Amino acid sequence: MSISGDRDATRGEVTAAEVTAAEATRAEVCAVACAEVFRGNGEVLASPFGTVPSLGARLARLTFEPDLVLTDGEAALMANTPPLAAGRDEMVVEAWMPYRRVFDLLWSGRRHIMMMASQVDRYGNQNLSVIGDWFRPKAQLIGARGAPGNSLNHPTSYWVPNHSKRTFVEHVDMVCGVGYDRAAELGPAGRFHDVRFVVSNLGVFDFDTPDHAMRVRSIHPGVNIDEVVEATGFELELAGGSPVAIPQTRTPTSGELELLQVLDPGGTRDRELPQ
Amino acid sequence: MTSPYPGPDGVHEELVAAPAIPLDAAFVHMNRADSHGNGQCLGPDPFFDDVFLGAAKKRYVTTERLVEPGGLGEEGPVQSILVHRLLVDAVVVTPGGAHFTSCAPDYDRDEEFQRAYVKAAGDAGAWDEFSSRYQSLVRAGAKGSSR
Repeated sequence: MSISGDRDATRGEVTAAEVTAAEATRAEVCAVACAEVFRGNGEVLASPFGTVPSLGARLARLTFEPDLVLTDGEAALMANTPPLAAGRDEMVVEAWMPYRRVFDLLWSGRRHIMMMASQVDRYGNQNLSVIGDWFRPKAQLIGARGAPGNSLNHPTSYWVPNHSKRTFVEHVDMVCGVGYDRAAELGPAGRFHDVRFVVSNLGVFDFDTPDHAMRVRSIHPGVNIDEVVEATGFELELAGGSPVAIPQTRTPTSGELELLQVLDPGGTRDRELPQ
Repeated sequence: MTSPYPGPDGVHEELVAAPAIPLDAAFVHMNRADSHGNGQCLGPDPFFDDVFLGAAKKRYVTTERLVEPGGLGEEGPVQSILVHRLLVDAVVVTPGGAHFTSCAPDYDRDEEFQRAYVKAAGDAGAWDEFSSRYQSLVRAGAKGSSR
């Protein structure tokens, strides 16, 4: 049940003045970009992986998406929004959500996951299992996890803190999260597929193009579009259709920066990005 | 397989069905159990333990502590009595049976032991020492009371 009551038409508008880019670190810009991934989602389970997405989901819940549901990382949902490093005694339980019930929920579609991606390709296929050939891997990673079922059942977005030609590739080495090209081949079985955004340390990307090829939605302050193109292993579509028209990712408001400091007083957010 | 029921558009959709996986045996560890085979999970997450018991031919519950039949209700709410005796062939009392993983609220994960295990697993010499030190202790300390 929604906790926010009637929708406030102005909720979600950025009311405080945006701070200048120089005052926010890149990680803070990324955290706000990750928060924006959940904008408009309403009452869904937000499942962020990684420090910056975890901050983003908490920030969204504390500001423009109060209906978001968050887990305690074990078997409960949290009534409060404590800092990332909070101990169990700082978490207030609002409901029971053991592992098994996550599956029942995800099949209903009421979840938006933000997974990490060791590789992501032009159509949003994601890999976090293996680098190189399956039978002779160069690196064994954490496995496909829930990525196939997540990407085919509910909104799915990705966080890539190290944007490079090794992470943004023409074809992933193994498909874990399903991309738009493969989902289209599934016919009706792919009708719940919904890959939304990729946030990297350089920009924000979506698939709002006729064939769902990845598009640059915005670039972070201080990033040049040439830098993004150079760090990407395939041709990117451009929002606005030309390099000069690409918007800049919005910078945090002073209120958001204060919340980020409360949620992450130790500054772990900055350590997730390449220095 | 083709759905026996038509969808809203009248089309019988193709669905994926997977056959059940018959398990030879399942062992699940419960905080409490009674000698009839009822088992109680007092921790936050039962995972799939009762489902494994439902799928297996031979079903074993291991437990931190055995209580008298009818006594589980005094240990926790009725919903925590996850396993009923129709799912169980035998009960084994194995205190510490989930170590070094967590068996809350009886004990948490033993991080120090886990680190020692990982370290030993990467070194043949260290493994022999680890194995002889702990596994012989386990064998010496093993005690079972079977129904």
